[in-house]
Order: sequence, then structure tokens, then C-alpha cells
Amino acid sequence: MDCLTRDPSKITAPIATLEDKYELLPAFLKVRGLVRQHIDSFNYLVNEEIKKIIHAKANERVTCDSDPNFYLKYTNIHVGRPSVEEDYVVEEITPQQCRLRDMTYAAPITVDVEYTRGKEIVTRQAKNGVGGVVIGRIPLMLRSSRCVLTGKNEDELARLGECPLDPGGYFIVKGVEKVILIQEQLSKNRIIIEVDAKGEIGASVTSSTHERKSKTNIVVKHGKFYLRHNTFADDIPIMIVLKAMGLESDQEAVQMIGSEPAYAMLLGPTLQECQAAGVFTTQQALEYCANKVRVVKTHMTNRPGVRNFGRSRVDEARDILAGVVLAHVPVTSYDFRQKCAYISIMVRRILNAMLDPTQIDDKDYYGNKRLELAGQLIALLFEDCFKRLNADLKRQADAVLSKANRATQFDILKCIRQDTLSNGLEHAISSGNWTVKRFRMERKGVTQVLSRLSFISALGMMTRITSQFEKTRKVSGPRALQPSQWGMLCPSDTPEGESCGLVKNLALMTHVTTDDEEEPLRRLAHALGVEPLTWLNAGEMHSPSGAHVLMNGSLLGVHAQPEAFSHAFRKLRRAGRIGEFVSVYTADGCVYISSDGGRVCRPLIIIERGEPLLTQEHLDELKDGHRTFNDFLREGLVEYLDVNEENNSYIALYEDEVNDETTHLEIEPFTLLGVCAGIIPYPHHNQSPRNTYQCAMGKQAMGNIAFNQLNRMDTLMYLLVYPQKPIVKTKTIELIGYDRLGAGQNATIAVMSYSGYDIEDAIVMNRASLDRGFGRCTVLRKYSAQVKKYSNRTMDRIVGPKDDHRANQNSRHHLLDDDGIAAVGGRIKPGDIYVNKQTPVNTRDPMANPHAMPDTMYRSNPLSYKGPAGESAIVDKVLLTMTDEGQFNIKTLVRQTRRPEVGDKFSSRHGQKGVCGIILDQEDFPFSERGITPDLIMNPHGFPSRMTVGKMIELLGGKAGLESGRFHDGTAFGGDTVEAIQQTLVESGYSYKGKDMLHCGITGEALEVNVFMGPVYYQKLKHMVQDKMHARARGPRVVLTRQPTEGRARDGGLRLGEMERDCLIGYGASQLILERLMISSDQFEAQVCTKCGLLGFQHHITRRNACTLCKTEAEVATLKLPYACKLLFQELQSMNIAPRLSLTEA
Amino acid sequence: MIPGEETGASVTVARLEDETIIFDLKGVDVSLANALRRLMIADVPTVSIDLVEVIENSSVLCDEFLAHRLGLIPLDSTKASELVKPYEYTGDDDTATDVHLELNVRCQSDQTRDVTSDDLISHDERVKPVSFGGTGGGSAKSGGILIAKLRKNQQLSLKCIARKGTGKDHAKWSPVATAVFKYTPLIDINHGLLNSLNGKSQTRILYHNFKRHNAGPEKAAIVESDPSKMFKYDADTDTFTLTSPESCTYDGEVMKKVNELGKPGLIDVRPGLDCFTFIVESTGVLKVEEVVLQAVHILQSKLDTIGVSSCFDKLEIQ
Repeated sequence: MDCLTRDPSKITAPIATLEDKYELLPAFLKVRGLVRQHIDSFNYLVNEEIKKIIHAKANERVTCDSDPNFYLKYTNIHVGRPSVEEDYVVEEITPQQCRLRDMTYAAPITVDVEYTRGKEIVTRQAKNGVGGVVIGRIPLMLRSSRCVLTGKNEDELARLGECPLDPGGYFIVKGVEKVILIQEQLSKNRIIIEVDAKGEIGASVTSSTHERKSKTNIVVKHGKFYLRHNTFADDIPIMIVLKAMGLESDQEAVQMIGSEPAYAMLLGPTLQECQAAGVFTTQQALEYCANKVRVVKTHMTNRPGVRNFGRSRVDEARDILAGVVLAHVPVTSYDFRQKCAYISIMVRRILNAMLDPTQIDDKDYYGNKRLELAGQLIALLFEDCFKRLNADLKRQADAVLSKANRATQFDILKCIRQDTLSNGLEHAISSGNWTVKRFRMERKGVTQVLSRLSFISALGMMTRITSQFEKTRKVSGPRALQPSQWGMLCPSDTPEGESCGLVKNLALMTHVTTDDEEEPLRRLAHALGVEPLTWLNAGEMHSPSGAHVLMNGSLLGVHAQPEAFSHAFRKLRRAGRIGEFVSVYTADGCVYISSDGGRVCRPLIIIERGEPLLTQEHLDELKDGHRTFNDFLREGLVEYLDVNEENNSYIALYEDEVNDETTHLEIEPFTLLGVCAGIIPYPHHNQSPRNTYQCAMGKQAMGNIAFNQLNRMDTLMYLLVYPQKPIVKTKTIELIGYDRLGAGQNATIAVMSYSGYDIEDAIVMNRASLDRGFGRCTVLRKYSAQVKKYSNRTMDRIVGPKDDHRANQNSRHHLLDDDGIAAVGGRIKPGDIYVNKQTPVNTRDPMANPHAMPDTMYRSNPLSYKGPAGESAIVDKVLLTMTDEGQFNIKTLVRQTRRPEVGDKFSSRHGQKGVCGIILDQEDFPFSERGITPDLIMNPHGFPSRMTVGKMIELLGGKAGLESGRFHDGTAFGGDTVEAIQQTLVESGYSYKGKDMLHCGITGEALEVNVFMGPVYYQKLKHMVQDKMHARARGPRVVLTRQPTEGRARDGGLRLGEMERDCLIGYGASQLILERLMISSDQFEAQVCTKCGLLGFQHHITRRNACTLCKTEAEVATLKLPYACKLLFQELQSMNIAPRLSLTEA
Repeated sequence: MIPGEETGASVTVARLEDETIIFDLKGVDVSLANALRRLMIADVPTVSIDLVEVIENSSVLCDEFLAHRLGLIPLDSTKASELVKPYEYTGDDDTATDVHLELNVRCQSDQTRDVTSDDLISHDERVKPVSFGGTGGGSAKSGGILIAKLRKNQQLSLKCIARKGTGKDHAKWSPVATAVFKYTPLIDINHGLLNSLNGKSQTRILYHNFKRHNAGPEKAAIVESDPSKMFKYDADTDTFTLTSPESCTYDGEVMKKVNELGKPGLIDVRPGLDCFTFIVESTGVLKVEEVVLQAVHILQSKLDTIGVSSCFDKLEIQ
């Protein structure tokens, strides 16, 4: 009817396609940023979760055993602005300050309290958003709501010394940038049906509440159902558990599980077992359970005389059933109805799975996974520290208030120690060890130092997900790419080797949810017709038309029309009445509502009646800046779907695939790739492992790190002198800013064999190109020196060099300025002193005048530059700073500019790495008739087995881009077509094949075949020969064994290993073996007594051999043996074993 | 055109501009042509900044970075013949090897100051940056080569020493941007076969009904098939002409097309093996003909040392 009233001209108009659907992406990233998941999670902690924690029943009040009137109550909590207190002045701090000064970017946590002081009740209230009492400092996430960087534009960020392209989402602790990696784990509070080692089906639930974590299993043994839990020593028949929970009637129990004949049959043995055990009443059942309770030896029960009075073992069993077993299902005043229903659903699901094996859950299915982010992890830690703080206060209150006479009035606020929280949080983030005692959680490596090797490596780290699975286990399941990861996780970006598939990366558009309030949703569900369990009897629970409604894993009730219900719920979400991340989905007769945190989801365009709700007009308005992505979300044109809800949807990849049943439309297919894979041009033309290799290598590429790179003081920084934008771009490149902080150069490559120094992926480079700056890089390394203060109030000092030292260029002091610190711009060689430090001789005993001690009281303790011999560098920058703890630091940045040399590693963006094999002069290089000489020659054998067709297309696109003067697009699943590129090539007079006729530079003759030549974006990787090459003739030895040291850093020897030894043995070169393994290693001249066979000695003056044991000089022989051998003999002797040498000729 | 007397070598200059020369070299072996090319790239001496003493550098670019950029600035090298390479000179007179330049710039304004090659102050009139635009304009408009950009109160104060060198040592001493040759193409058109092709009269109707490139008249199709666009076809007069043989890239597309049309031998493109077209572009440090001539001289002197006479001995170019 609608169409009749409409303007007739519009009906016949062609349906507009969403050409610039892709424009949604920048809009999306503008409101969301690349690391929104981290920032949202942290914001949630700071703004909401932290309040919930202090208001939790166990945390809210601090009381005292000795004074019943005493209490301390937290009424509110605030997280302030990032600041630091120095010399009793509170100052705001910026992240860049913290990086340079080795401080922690943290904000004070303040609380409002109400407490008793003597007889009066005192309140301390917040003023201007700053709470009354400071309880500690919490490290702040950059760009979170409390950070100074939020909401700033590029200019303001530049003024704060910050790079506008930096995504934030990490912490700065003691000057080190730390990322809390996203942790992946199985979802909590959900029933998982799985097959155990014996092939039996079981159900397991990991319950997690604020107080407790526990795992409950229901297992099947010999066709009977049992409950298995840590607190019970034995499995308990399920009917006994139900009876103990007050479900005395067998009929009711069976009805609750399911009275359909198929189910009832399977339940038979379980019922009989209960009968056989003689358990009929709740009391009997509880007694049965009480007998199985694992006896926990606490100090209470061990103490004689003190009985756990008032609590029988039956009570204890009841408490365990109420509070520990399935802890997340609430039991109020011992009403077990909810829990019985939950157990029966678990049993029912096992029965389902027994009848239909497809009902067994896939643990690797991504809908069953939850991602734990920084906010959640810090919340755990914060609560732990907060509890510790409270316990501390309570102990002090107990100690003071128990004494009858006190000189001063007890003020609990004076007892608050800020260190508990500050150090607890700071230490955990800086060490990465997450220890939460109440959950017996002990995780290592939760945080990592943010890799600043390249811009991409920093970004890639922010989207990284680590799995809790053990790396050593040889299982393929958790490592495999799951279909449910489509669009959520990058299919390419995973490391090779042991953690392959366990470490993953988020796709470009993925968001991770935070917790959402449950109560309003519950009320809403009931308002929409969900009948609560209490209204139903057991028989009504499984009516064929109705469906269970579960919210976050717990049973809400039953709804008669599940489809209508979920439809209504979704409508409300699209209307913005409930959170946009709440998901609703139906599966096998149940409606699941999820509002918990850690689910991965992504935005999609909604389609109704075969047409996308988002129209071209909307996109135009978006482009003009009248709307934002959030407006579309609010208006219900776009919505977030999580992995589970995706299964209820029919998602079209492209607009022309939309039909009547389609519910959603993908925004852009290339967003299924992550940040690292997004910079590969034409990845859909490459063999998939090649894209994975590039993801790993992009992180090692040198380039620009950030706009503030020259103001940074990183331990090691690799910068490219002339980085370029890639000619063949992708949309991802533009979105993440890789075109502004590139890591590579557009090199003209010729794919041909030349000079023979290009076998095995080696590349031939043009000397003239290197002269002109190709592949030139700057390496910056930081050396720091601390000026320490000692306990006797003495301190280190820095002294200027003597005049004659400075004048002498060969002196180790020649670099020093008057202040005793290296001059900026000076050339520094190994051995040169860069900070001329002196340390007091006595740092322990009290000194008379610690600030004006004579020179004799100091000993020289200079810091000298230790680099590879023969290489020199230049002092780039010197920074004198003080940390917030008053520690004086001198940071010296040393710079080296390097041009590529033979052996340096390069790679294109297609996982094609190679080292430079030879550098040829320009005149020797092949040249085309247009005057083009390639920068680089690559061997064509790199192509057939690698199948990196994308690289070939990139070459074509780059060549066409040069001619047409524009950047070509190589976006995944799209990009400029080869036909279009070839058209451009032909128009500019090139062959459509991209091949050129070249002449050999050495003979001048034309090459027999035309050569594939054009520009390809090449990355210089951080592996350079200069840092690796090593050789030694003689050098240091290890003290213990007197063998040569190991490794380049210690100027070590080159090992003649076992296999090399085997070769020599096989060849029969016995003298060579002797020379290599003993004479050139640890030859030792030993004295052996021919009589006793033990080691003797040589008198150092008389030079006469002697044996202490035999008291003889005559029968001691001299022989040569490895020192390690002598050492072994002596060690054996020390263990009461006497190794005796019997010599045939002495 | 002057023929080389013994070997028949000759040079025809097709085009000569300030920085570009195109000439044909006939009657020599490919090895000799290549030797000439290699010498132009690597052996013709020029002058470039070789040493930089940094007195003050508060710009964002580090010292080595600036020194590298300064080195690559082309300097007028007409004086190169009078200078001696530092490693060939044993005397004490610095002026025999060195030319001093200075760069003193400080940004006073709030706007970014571009430091260009125009800011370089040379102590020698004859050694100055190529296309020197006068006394420090400070804007890229004057055409100077950008060295660095300065912000307010940043300063550059450098002393540079320019020295003589060749492209063998570093690409900055190479006087040429392009120095290539190619075989001059020999293109034969068999006019007999050409006339047997479809003319405009038969295919005019078709021409309008079909896409141009797949069903045009055959002569036009030949023109279309050639990416290097050597031929021209005028449909109105039905004339098929060879217009730009110099753009030939030997891609074989025309011959492929001709075979496709069933007329092998209609057009034959092959390289002339003793005839080379040189394209040389100078970076501006020397006049381009000077580069060529010097290369010839160097070649001759090199041949003299090994006692071989060359076809260039009596070659003159007008």
C-alpha cells in the first residue's frame, strides 16, 4: 500500500547501492579508535566497577572485634586526574613526562568515608569530585576517561609531546610502556557439555562470583548421574543432591528434568541408586552429603577446646550446597528452587546429548569464549589489594582498641597506608605477575612491554589475544582457525612455532563488551512475558511450545513464544532502550540473553524486508559530518552482533547477495583482517601462510615509530632515514595511519637472475640507490646512569675531566664536557667514558660532612661505552632527570646511521624475505631504454613455490601508479583490478605484462627476455649483520672451566659442535680433533702420581712434582689434559669418589 | 655527421637541449657503446660536498642526515677539471682539492623556514649549486633544493668542503641522471601486404557498431595493438605511417598482431646491431655534451694506456 501513495517517479528509480559503505569504517574508528576494547574496559573499571567493589558487602565496612561500636564505612570512591606529589605539591603529569622521567602515570584514588573517632561519627566527603581520603594510586591507561590526552586534538596532543596516531590503551609504569594483553578463556557460568576421557558425556560449569570461583561437574557413570565437586570427596548421586536441596519427590525431580519417555528411561538407574542408598528425605540426603564433605583441616578445628559450635555437619553440607556448588545461582534463605532447576537443566542437556551427539558443545567455538581485558584484570587485583588494606586497618584497630588506656584518640584514617594499593597495582603491571589469593590465581606474563620497533608492532600488540592453554600440549583444536572467528579475529595474524594459533589478534572492527547491568534486563524480560520459575510447577517447565529463558547462564523462567520474545528484545535494543551490546539468541528451544563482559562482537548493517536500513543519504550525511557512527547505532541502522547472535542471523557479504531472508549486511569484507594483515596489498591473491609471515615481519620493519620519536628515550630504536608511503595502498593503511608512519620504501625491483649472488632469496642491490639513501637507517640506543644516594647521606658525584685528558683525542675522557657528561654530537668509541661518575668509598657508616667530602673519599666509577670494536657512534642526546622517588638519572642516547650492507635483511609485504647478497655499481646494473635502473634485483625462483601473486599485482599497480601519478588500491577482496592497471600501463606505453626490455649493464647487450620490473614496497628488517657478525682468534675464557666463553656479547669462541666432531672422527683427523677440542680450548698441564693415580702438584718455586698422598716426588708424571677433565676429577673427589689414572708410560 | 674513418663510426645528434642529448652512434660494437655509457655514469669527474663540519645544528635532522643531503646537492662542476682528487694530491695546498661552502641559517619568524641549496654560500664563484637562485630566498619557490626545514629559533651553521670525485666512489659524483642507449630499431613495412589489408571503405559500418579495439579496420588494429605507439593510421586518407620509431620498446606486440591477422612479414621490427640511440640527461652539474665528450676522452686515455687505438680517435662532433 505504501508504494501507491509514494511519488511514482521514485518507484521506478533504480535502487541506489551503498557505494561508499566503506565510509562507515573511518566513522566507526573515529568514535571507537583502534584499541577501544582496552579503553572501554578500563573506563568501566574506573567509573563503575570500582564503585561496585567498595560497596560489595564484604568490603564496605571495616569493623573491630574489640570495640563493637567502631566502624569505618566507605560511601563513595573517586579516581582523580593523573598527578604526582613532589615536595608536598601535587602536580599534573603527562604521559611523555612519565616516559622520560621513569615515573608511573597514575592517578590518586580517593574515598568518602564515615567512621567513628571515639564516640563521635565523622564523615569525610568529596569536594569538587576529589574524595576525602587518599587510599592509593592507580596506574592510568592512556586515552582512558581520566587521561589528560582524551578529547584533545592533534595540536594539543603535540603540545603535550604525544603522537596523535598513538592509539593509547597501555600503561606507563616506571617509565616503561606496558600492555595488559587480552586473555582468552572459556566463558564463566555457562553449561558446557563435553565428553570426558572415558567417552562419557558430562556437563561442567565454572561458577564465578565476586567472592568465589568453583567448578561443578555432573558426570555419568554406568548410566547413572553424579555431582562432582571439589568440596566433596566422592561423587554424589544427583537424586541425593536434589533431595538435599529439598526436592524430595522423585516425580517432581523427573518432571523437572523431563518426563518424556526417552528421558525418563535414562533416568531410571539414577532413581534406583538413590532408593538403594536409602535416602528418601532431605535430612537423610544432607547427612549423606555431609559424610562426603572433604575434611578441611583448618586451624579452628585443630585447636582443642574450641568447637565449631552451633554448626552441625549437616548445616555445613547445606551451606556448601547453597554457597559453593554452582555458586553463581543465588540461594536466598535456603530456597533451593532455582538451583534445583539449574541442575535439572544440566541433566536434561546431558540427556539431550546422549540421545543426539550433535548437542555436545565445542569448547573451541568462539561463542563459548570470553576475553578478559585490562579493566577486569585490574579489578581483580584492586579488590584483592583493597581487601588487604581493609584487613590491615582492622588489625590495627583491633590492636589499638583492645588496650584500655590510650594516650591519644584513635583515628583510623591515620592508619591508611597508601602503599598497599599503589605498590600492589604498580608491581603487578610492571612484572606481569597476577596473583589473586582469593581465587588462587597465579598468572605470569599478563603484561608485556609495548614493542616500539615500528608503529605496526605497537598497534599489533594492542590487539593481541593470548590463550590460557598450555603451549606445550600438542592439541590442534584450540590452535585451529574456527569458523566462528570469522570477522572477529584476524585469520592471518598469528605467530609461527609453539604459540601458533594460541596467540591471536582482533580483526579491525571487533569490539569486546563490558559488563552490563542485569537487573533492568531481568525486569524487562519478565515484563515481556517471561514467567518466573516460582510461578511454575515442575511439570510446566518443559512445555513443548515454550522455551527456557536464560540470562548470563542462569535460568530466568519460561516464555511461551520464544521467537516473538527475542524479536521484541532486539527491537528494544535497536531502539536504544537497552545496551547495544546485549545479545539475544535462540538455540535448541532456549532463549539466551547475554550482557556479560568479554564477548567479542562487531557492527553490521541491519536489513529489513530485503533492504538495508542504511541508505545513501545517511552515508552522505556522514561524509558531510552531520552524523556520526553512534547516531546510526542509536537509530537502529547498524547494530553489534556477538558470535552467538550471528548464528541467528543471515548475513550478506555484498549488497547484491541480499534476499528476503537476509537480516544483516557486512560493512566491508576486508575488516575481517586485523591491523597487521591489513597493510598487505592484494592478500587474497597470496598463499595464506605468506600473509601470516608478513604479519610477523611487519613488526620487525624499520620506519617511523611515532611523531614524537625524536623526543623519546627508548632503549633501542630503529628509524628509517627516508620512509615512504606505499604506492599500492589499502584502505586499512589509510585508516590506521600507516601512510603517515610508514615502514619501508618503494623500491624498483627487477625480477631476474643476475650475478649469481641472488640464490636462495638473496637480493642484489644497486650501490647508487644506497648512496642516494635507500635503506639508510638510524639506530638509537639508550645508556642510563644513576646517581645514587646512600644510607649514610653520601651520594655519587659526577666530575669533569682533567684538562689534559680532554685535549687528548685518544684519552677515554676526550668526550666529556665540563660537567663530566658526554658532549652531544661527539663521536663515541668503545671504551670511551660518557658519564664520569665517582662513588663514595664508604657508603655505610655515618660521615661527618657527607656533602663536602675530600676527593680521597671517592673512588672512580665511570660508565664507559661498550660497543663492538671498531664501530663508533655519536652521542645524540643527553637527558638529566629525576624520578618521582628522587632518583637522579642521566640518560644518554647514542646514534648510529647505517647504510645497507651485504647480509642486511629486507622483505616485501608478502612474506618474501631475503638478505642482501651483493651490492653492484649502478653501471653494472641492467637498465631499461627509458633510463630506469632497478634498485634491487630479486630472483624469480622466489615466486613459483611461494605463490605470492599479490606481489606481482603490487608491482603492476605500483608501475601504473607511477605513470598515472596516483596511489593504487590493493585492499583485500577488492582493490584495483589487474585489467584496470594494465589499461593504465598500456596507455603510458608499457607492456601490459609489466615487462621491460633491459640491457645488461656489463656487456651492454639486450637481455634475451623481457624482465618483470616495477616498484614494490620493501621493508628493511631490524636484523642487520653489524649487530650479528662475530669472529675471534683468541679471547676471554670462563673462569671455572677455562674454556672459551660463549656468545657474541662475551666475545665468545665459535663452537666446534658434536656434529662437526663426528665429521672429523669419520674423516680420521685425530690430530685436528685434539687441536680443536683441547689445545685450542682448555689444555692444562697436570701432575699425576703413577703410584696412586691421583692428581699431584708442582711446587711453584722448586718446580718439582709431588704427590701429597704418597709423599713422593719421584713417581709423579706430568701430562696434558683438558682443564674440564681435571675439574671433573676434583669434583668427584669431593664426593668421595677417587678417580685414578693409570699411566702406561710415565 | 662526421664518419669515423677507419671503422665507419659516426654520431648524429638528434636533439640537444640544456640537460638532454639524444644522439645516434653508428658503426661501433655494443661493447664500445656500453663502455661510453659506463664512463658517463661512473668516470666523469664532478664536484660535490664531501666533508661537512657541523658548528650548530638545532634542526630536527641529525648531522649525518644533513651531511648526506648536502652531498647529494648537484654543484656546478665546470671547475672539476682544474681540481685534483684529494687522494691523488700530495701537496699542502688545500685550494688544489677543496672548495669551501658555508650554510648559516636561523629561523626568526613564526613560520617554518625552508633551508634550500640557495642558502649555501660558496667561497668560489664557479662552484655553486645547480640552478642557484640567488641569495637565500628561504622559500622553495626560488627553485632551490630543500635541505631542511627550521622552526623558530632553530639554527643551522655548517662548513662544507666540496671535492672532486667520480661516480665510482659515490653516486653523488655521477654527472648524469639518465645515461642509456638502445638499439636503433629497424622497422620494415611490407607495403604490398599492407595494401591487402582491410581499408576503411569495407569496415566503416562495422567500425561504428563494434568496440574500437576488437573489431576496427585491421590497420587501425595494428596501431592499437602497439603499446609504444610507433605507428599512426589516418582513417580518412587511409594512410598507415611509421611516426615515432624512437619509442619502440621491442615488445613484439605488433608482430604478434600481424601474425594474428594472417600476414606474417607485414611489419618487421628488429634491432640494428651496430647502431645505438643514446639518451643522456645531465643532473646540471655539467653541460650534457660536455659529459659525453669527457667520457669519450676518458675512454681514449684509458685505451691509450693499454695501447689500443679506437674508432673514436678521429671522431669529431659538430
